[in-house]
Amino acid sequence: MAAAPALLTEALETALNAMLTANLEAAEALPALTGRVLCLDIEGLDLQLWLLAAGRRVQVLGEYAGAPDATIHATPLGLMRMSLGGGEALLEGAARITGDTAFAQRLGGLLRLSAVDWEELLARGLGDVAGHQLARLLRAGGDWLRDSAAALEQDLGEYLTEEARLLPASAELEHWLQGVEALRADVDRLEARLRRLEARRAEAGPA
Amino acid sequence: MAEQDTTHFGFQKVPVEEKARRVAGVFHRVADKYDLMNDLMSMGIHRLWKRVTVELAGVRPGDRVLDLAGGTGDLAARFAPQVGDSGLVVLSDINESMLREGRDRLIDEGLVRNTEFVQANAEALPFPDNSFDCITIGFGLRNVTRKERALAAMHRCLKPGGRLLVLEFSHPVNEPLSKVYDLYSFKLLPLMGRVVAGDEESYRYLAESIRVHPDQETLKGMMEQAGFERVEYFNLTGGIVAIHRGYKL
Repeated sequence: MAAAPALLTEALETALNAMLTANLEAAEALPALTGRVLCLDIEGLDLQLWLLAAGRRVQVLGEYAGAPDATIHATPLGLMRMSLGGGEALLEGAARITGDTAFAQRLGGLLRLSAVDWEELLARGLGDVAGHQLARLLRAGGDWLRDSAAALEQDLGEYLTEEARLLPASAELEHWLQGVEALRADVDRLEARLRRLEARRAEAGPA
Repeated sequence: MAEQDTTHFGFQKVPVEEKARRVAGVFHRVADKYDLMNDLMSMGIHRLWKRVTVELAGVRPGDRVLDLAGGTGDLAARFAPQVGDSGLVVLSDINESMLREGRDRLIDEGLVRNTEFVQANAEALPFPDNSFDCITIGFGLRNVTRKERALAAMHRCLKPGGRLLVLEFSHPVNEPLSKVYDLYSFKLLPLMGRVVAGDEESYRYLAESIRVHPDQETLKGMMEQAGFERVEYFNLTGGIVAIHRGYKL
């Protein structure tokens, strides 16, 4: 796995901390998590981001030699949906938490409290890595991701509003996102069934 | 002694014993505006340089890290969360004003559980042999009077397997960039020093001291001379800055 480039982690860290410190509740709650480590394993992009809680700040690293207290495994899509619909994404399997679930949800909660806009952050971050990972991003539907992230920026001023008008309405988009998740889940199930079928055939022995 | 014992202070030659005093004067004067000036002078890029340095250090929980010439604590503030409660970060600077700025900043950020502060001269480190997993010196080595002694002291204090990272201004690797950089550092930099910090002379010194600092290959050689192995360097921003990394094996 390639480490996230310094530009991406720096941009993420700056944005996260700006928003965390702007929120009194989060700023007061964060020091209690000092020393704890959350890993975001972004599936499909082969990218890990490590969030280290430290005093009133969060440090974002592309690589870390220590062990995480918790890991959130999610596609960029799953990550977006976590911030959109709370636990919904978890129930639908778009995101998975391993390790200390309570901590992951606590830090995740603080990030949500601070109105961290994951869609925008990731879109911007992915823009930064585009030079290195263009081919991979295109495969992962990077263009779509950037467009839909822009669509979710309802209140970001004139420029984005005009951009957004070119894109599907948010209800439509939400419906489509659900469709994509359903398809993904179906494929997972189909895969599992195929594996079971193969296993059964192997048990039955050669015909 | 027939040969006068002198060293560089920017482009001037000064007696060896005077350099430390003059450098101290510069940093006493700029301490409270140091972070702001760094942002202005490097257009914010120094944050990325420091981030890459910390990434190359690759510290892990439990490590003991010494940040020399740590100034306002940029590197130490990144290391502290990474080494965790079982680790230790010692922020050290020869200059009391700078060290106080760094200490206040780390305390303000709540990084108090695993940090210590030591005012020390890099040429004569007050630590036992083999006591750190990682030593960093960011934008500090060029201000040290006897660099060979400082490198030897760092080597002594590192544990076997430990690494030294030197983040320092270096020499641009291509000619056009080098021209622009000259113009920037000798005209614009002192001007910014005058306007923002009200102190043109100090910033002129900073620009000049960068020029007389050894280039990439020379510093690599000096580190090898001091006993470091597997020494390599990474040019950043076209060689305006370089990170040297060497191991004590």
